[in-house]
Amino acid sequence: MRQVLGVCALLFTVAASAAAADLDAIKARGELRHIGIRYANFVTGSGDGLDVEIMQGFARRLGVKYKLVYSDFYSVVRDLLGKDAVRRGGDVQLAGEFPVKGDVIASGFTVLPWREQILIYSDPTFPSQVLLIAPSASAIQPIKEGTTLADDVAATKSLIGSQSLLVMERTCLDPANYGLTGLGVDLKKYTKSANLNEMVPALLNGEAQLTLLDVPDAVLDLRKWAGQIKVLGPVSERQTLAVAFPKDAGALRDAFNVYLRDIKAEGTYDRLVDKYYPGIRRFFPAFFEKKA
Amino acid sequence: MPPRWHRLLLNWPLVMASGFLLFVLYLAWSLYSTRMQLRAATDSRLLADSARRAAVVADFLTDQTKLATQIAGAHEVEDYLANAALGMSPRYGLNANIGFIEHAFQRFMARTTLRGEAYVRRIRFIDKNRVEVASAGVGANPAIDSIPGYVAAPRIDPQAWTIEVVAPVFFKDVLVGAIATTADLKVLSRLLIEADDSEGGYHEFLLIGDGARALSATRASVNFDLVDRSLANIPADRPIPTVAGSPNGNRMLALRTPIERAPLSLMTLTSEATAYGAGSTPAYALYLAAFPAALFVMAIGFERQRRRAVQLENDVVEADRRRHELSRHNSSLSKEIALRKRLEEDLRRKTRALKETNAELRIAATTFESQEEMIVTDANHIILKINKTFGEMSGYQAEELVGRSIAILHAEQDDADPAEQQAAAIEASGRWQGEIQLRTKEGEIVERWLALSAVQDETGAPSHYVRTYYDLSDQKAAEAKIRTLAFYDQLTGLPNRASLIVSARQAMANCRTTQTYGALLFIDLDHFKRLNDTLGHHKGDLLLKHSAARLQKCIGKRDTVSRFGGDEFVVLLADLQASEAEGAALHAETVAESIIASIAEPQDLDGHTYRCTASIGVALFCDERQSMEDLLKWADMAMYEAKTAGRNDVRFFDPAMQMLIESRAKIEAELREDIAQKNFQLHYQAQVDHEGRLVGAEALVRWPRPVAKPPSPGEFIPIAESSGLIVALGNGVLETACVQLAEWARDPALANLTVAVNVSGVQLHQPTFVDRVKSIVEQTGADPRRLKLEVTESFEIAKIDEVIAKMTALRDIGIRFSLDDFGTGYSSLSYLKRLPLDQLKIDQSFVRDITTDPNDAAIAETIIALGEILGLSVIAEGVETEEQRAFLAARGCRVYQGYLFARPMSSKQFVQFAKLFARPGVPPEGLDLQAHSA
Repeated sequence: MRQVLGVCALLFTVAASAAAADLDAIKARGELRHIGIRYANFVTGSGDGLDVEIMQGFARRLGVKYKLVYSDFYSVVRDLLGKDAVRRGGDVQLAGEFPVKGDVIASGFTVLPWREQILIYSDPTFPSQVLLIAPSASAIQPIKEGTTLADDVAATKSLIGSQSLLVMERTCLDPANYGLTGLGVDLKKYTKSANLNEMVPALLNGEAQLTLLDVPDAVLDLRKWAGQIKVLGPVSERQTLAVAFPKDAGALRDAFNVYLRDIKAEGTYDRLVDKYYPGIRRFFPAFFEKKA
Repeated sequence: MPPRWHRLLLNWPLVMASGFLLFVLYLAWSLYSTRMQLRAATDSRLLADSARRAAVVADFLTDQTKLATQIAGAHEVEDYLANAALGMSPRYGLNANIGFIEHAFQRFMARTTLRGEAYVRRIRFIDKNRVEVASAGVGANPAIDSIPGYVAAPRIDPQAWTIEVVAPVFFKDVLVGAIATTADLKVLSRLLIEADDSEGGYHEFLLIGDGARALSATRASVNFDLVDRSLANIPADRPIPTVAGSPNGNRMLALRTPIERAPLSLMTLTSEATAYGAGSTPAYALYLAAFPAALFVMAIGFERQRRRAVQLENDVVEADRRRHELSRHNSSLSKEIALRKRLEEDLRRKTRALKETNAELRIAATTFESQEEMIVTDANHIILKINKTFGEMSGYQAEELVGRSIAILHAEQDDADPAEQQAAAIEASGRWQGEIQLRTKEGEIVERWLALSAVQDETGAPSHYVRTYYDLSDQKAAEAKIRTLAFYDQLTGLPNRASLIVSARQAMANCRTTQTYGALLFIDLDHFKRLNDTLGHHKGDLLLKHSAARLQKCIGKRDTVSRFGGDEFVVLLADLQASEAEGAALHAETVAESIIASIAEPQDLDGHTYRCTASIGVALFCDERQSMEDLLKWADMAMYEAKTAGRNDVRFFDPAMQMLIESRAKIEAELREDIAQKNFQLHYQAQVDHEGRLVGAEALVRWPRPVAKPPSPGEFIPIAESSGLIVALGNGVLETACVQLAEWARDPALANLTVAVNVSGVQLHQPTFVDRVKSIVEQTGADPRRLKLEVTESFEIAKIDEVIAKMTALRDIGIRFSLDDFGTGYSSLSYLKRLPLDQLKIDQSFVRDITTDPNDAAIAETIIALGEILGLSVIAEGVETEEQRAFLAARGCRVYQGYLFARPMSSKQFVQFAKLFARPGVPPEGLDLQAHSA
C-alpha cells in the first residue's frame, strides 16, 4: 500500500510540474503573481512588506507587472502547485487538483525539510528562529544564555514542563518541527486563524500559558507588546527564510537569485530590512554581515 | 561811570576776544553732542543685534539638551528597559530592542539639521554603569564621569569641535542610564554673518573658551587669523574701538557678547566707518574749538607775562632793601645764639655732674645698707647714722644711738676711747683697722674687725668717720677648730703629743727653776689590740674614752694627760714637789699605782663588761738636760719592760733596758734581711697516731744565726709579727714546706704524710692570701690534700666571715685546717662550729701538767670531747711522756706530737726518721733523735 501511494505521489508531482509557470511563461504572460501570507512585516496585508517590495522589484527586473495574491499557511502550497501537500511522517504527498494562483511564495517562508521535498528555494532572504514566549506576568524566567545554542534550546524546552503551549501546525510554529510532540506537552493548537500575527494576542488572551513565535514576529511583537510578553529562549536552531518556487521553475529561481544578489550589493535589500525589521540585524548579525 | 565799567573799557580787546571765544565754543559743543548721540544710537543697535545673535546661539545649545532629553524618553528606549526588566536575555529578545534604539538614533541624527545640515555626529545610550547599550554615528565617545540626574548644560569641547550633552534616562522613576549626544560645534557657523567691504566689513565670530579657537561663518580654526586672541579679554557688552582683527589696519569696533551657559562669546567686528558712517569724529569738534581757545589763552598769557615783568623789577628793588636789613638782624641773632649755646653747654655740664653725684650717692646709700655693719660718726665720734645690719647685730634702734658717743659700744673695761688710740693712725693715713670687741644692747660681747675711714672736708680735716664692722665669728670658730685639731686628740679630747711636748718643756723649765722633779708616765693598755680585733674598734674606742677619763681623775690640776695614739697615753706630772729622786719616784709610783688600780676596774663597753690592765713606764726629769725625745723613749722602754714582766705593772726607766730595745731593733733589721735572702730553715716534728704510725709532721721555722745562741721562734716570731715581716716569712715557710711535700710525694715512705704549716692571723687577713696559697701549691706541685694549715685564734673575730670564706676556698682544693693552740684564746664555740676545720690542737701548756693539774686535764678532756662532738680530729702537742700520751689516749685523743716521739729535725733527718719509722717492727724509740734535734 505504501508503495502504491508513493507512485501516486510521484505521478501527481510530475503532473503538477507540467502545469507550473517558469520564467518564460511569466514573461510571456507579462505578470508575476506573488503568493503572500499576511505574516509579520513580510506581507503586512496593507499592500506592502519586505517580501512585497522585494518581489515588486523582481517584477520590475523581469519587466512584468506585479500581482500580490494573498494566501495562508494552510493553502499556500496548494495555491502555488495546484495540489495539497499531505505529510505522513517524514513523507510528503501532493494530492488533489486545485487552481494554481501564483508563481512564487514569498512571505517569510521558512525553509523546512518537508517543504524542500516539493519545492525549491531561492538563496536565503531572511534569517529566523523559533522562540518560546510567555506573558510578562508569567512566573517562568527567561533562560540564562549558555555557551552553545543547543544548550539554550535544551534549557528553553525544559521550561515548558506541563505548561500549555500555543502552536500552529503546518507553519514554522509547528511543534513537530522541534520535537515537542509526544512529550506530554500540553499543546494548544491555534486554529482560529492561519495568521501568525495572532499568536501573541491569543497568548495574552489566556488561550495558553506559552506560545511559540518566530523571530520576525517576535521582533515586531516585542515593540508592539512591549512589557506584556517576554522571550524565554529559543526552541529551534537558526532557520532561513527564502522564496519558494515550484520544482520546475528553476530558471525563475535562478533569475531571482541574481536579482537578490544585486539588491544586496546595491543596498536596496539593507534599506528594506531596516525599513521593515529595524531590530533584526542585532538578532542575526552574522546573516547581515557584509561580505568583503 | 562805575569803576567796574571803567575797567572793562580799558580792557575792551579782552572783552571782545572773550565773546568770540564763547561763540566758537558753543558751536563746537553743539557739533560734538550731535556726533555723540549718533554714536550712542549706533552702539545700541550693535548691542541689540549682537544680543539677538547670541540668543540664537544660546537657543541652539538649549535645543541640544531638549534633543537629548527627547531621545532619552523615546519609546524604543523604554521598550528596551521594559524587556530588560522582564529578564530577557540580550541574545534572545533584547537584541531586537537595541536594534530599534539604534534605528531610532539614526533617525534622530538624520532629522536633526540646522539650515539643512545634519550636525549630530553620535548618539549613545549607556547604562548606569556607563557601559554602552546602543549607539549610532561615528566619532570619539566623550568621557562621562558620572550619570547626572538632570540634563546638564551642553559641554563645549574646543579640541574636538563638539557640543556634548548628557541626558538621564529614567525607568519607572529610577535613573537607569543616560543618552549622550555629540554634535558638531562647527555647525554654529551657520548662525553667523560675515560681510566684507573696503572699510573692513561686518564679521561675526564665535570665540571658544579663551579665544584660542574661533569660529566664523566660513571658517573654523585654531588661532584664526582674523581674530586677535586679545579680543577674548575685552569687556563684554560694550563696543570697543580697536585695530585688532582689521584686515587693512582701519579702526574697527569690537563687541563681545557672552553666550549664556556656555564658554562661548559672540564677537562682532565691524569697521567704525561702516558703523558710524563717514565724517568727522566727535572729537573733531573739540579740536576745532581748541584752536581759538588756545589763541585766547596765549594772548592772556602774554599780557600776564608783561605785567609780571614789571612787578618783578619792583620786587627786586624791595628784596635788596630787605636783604640788607635781614643781614643786620642775622648778625645780632648769631651773637645771641652763640651766647645761648655757651649757657646750654654749661647747663649740660652741671646736669651731668649732678647726675654723677646722685649716682654716687645712690651707690653710697646702697653700700651703706650692705650686709656689713656700718656706723657714721662726726669728727667727735658722735654717732650720726647706723645701718640696718648694725642695728640688727647690736639690738639698738637707730634713734637710741644717734647723738651718742661711739664709746657706748666699746667693750673695754677701761674708759679709754678707742678713737683716741686710733687717732695717730687716722691722722697719718686717714684710716685704721683692727680687731675690737663690741658690747651689744643685751651686754653680749662680740668680736669684730673694724675698718675705720675718715671723711675729710674741704680743708683736709676729718669731718666724719665711717666705721665698718666685719663679723669674726666664723674665723674665730675655724681658728679654734684648727687649734683643737692641732693640739687635742679627737677621740678622747685629751691633749695630743704636740700639746704634751709644749707642756712638758714648760714643766722642765719650771723644775729647773724650782729644783724639783717631774715625771713622764708612758701608759699602754694591755691586750688592747686583741680587744680591738675581737670585739671591734667601737669597743676599743669606748675603752680608750673610759680610760682617758679615769686617767684624768688620777692626776692633779697642774698635771697633764695626753694620748699619743692607739692605746698609748702619756701623763705629765709637772711637779712632784720633791728635790730628791727617791721622793719623786715614790710620788710618781703612787700615781702610777693609782692609775693601774683605776684602769683595772671593770669597764662597761656598751653592755660588755671588760677588765683591762695597763703597763706603765716612768721616766723622771728635773731639768732640761735630757731632750724631750729621750725622755719619751725612756718612758716607753720602761713601759715595754713592764709589758715584758707580765703586764699590769709599773717600771721605772733603767739604762739596761735601753740596750735590750736596741738589741730588739737589731734583730728586726737582720730578720728583715734574712727573710729577703730566705736564710731560714724548716724543721719537721713528727705527728704520730695512737697506733704508732707516722701520719705527718709540723713544719717549724728555724733561724740559723752565726751566734752562740740563735733567737728562738718564740723570740723572733713576735718581732716578725709586730714588724709585719710575718707575711713574707709565712709565705716563705709555706713555699718551702710545699716544695718538701712535693719532693716527699715521690718517696713511698713519705708520700702519705701530711705537713702542717703555721699561718698567723696577719697572713690570714691578707686580701691575697687564698690566691697566694693556691699559687704556691700550683707552682711547687704539692698535693694540697697533704697540706694542713694550722691557724691560731689570733685572727680578728670581726672578720670571721671573711676568714671562713678564705678557709672554705682553700678547703675546696683539698687543703685541711687545724686550729692551733686551742684553749689559749677566747675559744668561742659560736665561731668554732662555723669555721671549716678538720682538727683541733691541744696546746702544750695544757699537756705539760695534764697528769698533775686537774684544770689542765679538764681542759684537755673538754677539747677532746668537743672535737668528738664537732666531728674533728684532735692532736695534742708537747707530749713528752708516756703518761701524758696514755692519759690523752684514754680520753680519745688519737694523734700526738712531742718529744716523746721526736724532736723537730731537719728535712734530711726527718726523711731518715720516716723511713725507719715505716719499717715494721722498728719503734721510734730506736732512733737517737735527741742528738739531732735542733
